Amino acid sequence: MNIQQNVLDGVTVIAPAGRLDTTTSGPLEEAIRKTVDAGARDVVIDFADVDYISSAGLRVLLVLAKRMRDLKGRLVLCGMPEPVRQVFHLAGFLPLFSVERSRDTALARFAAHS
Amino acid sequence: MPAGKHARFEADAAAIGQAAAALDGFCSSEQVPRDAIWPLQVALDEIVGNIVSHAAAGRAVPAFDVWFRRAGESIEIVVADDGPPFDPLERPAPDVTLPLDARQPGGLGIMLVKSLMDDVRYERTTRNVLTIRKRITPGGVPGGAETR
Repeated sequence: MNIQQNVLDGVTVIAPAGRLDTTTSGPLEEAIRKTVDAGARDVVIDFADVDYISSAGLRVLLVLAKRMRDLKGRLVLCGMPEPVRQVFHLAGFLPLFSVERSRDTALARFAAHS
Repeated sequence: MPAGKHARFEADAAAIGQAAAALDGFCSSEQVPRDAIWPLQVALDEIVGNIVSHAAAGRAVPAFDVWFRRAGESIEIVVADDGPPFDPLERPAPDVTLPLDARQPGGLGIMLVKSLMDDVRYERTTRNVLTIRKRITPGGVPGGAETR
């Protein structure tokens, strides 16, 4: 899986691409873990290039959400294509996260608060 | 033996990607519309992921078979494995209204399969046989859309 990472104005943006399934969620989890271990506390996950997500991918996001809460970090999800948004909806995950339409609106959220 | 395009896999981690690739090939040759492909991809990932994790946990599932077929206005996928009897449909549905603190990973996979497919059936023969069906007619929007 291709995972792009950028730091924009102090916010780490992680953008996985392709399928977020049983095979690829391991590498994503590892990339996220390393980034948070290295000190990232303001994190955006951009789903714009994700084809679909299965429960293996949801698990990675759930683990991240709990960790960011424990660390008093901030996590925003953005760019969800319809297949991703629908799986989040079915799993009841939408209320558990801050979700923004685009990367720009996600980043604006940090700018407004910091 | 079920009809359709057949593929057999060793129940190891590589099988998950191989099964996904087999589904891609089938959907491409059958010109399955895009909005029906991803629910099938998610469902197959859940089902095959379960089989492989059971095999990895030492409950012998040496191999499994998958059949892909078009049945009228639907796509059907049959997955058969040699593991001990296990009906995933009997698993209690997870509570998807719990707050973050109370959420545990797991249990969501089969719920997604049920939600995204139009029909899911389990049958125990000498094997575990799971059949999922997805309509590809214009009315066959992914299940759950109406609950939005």
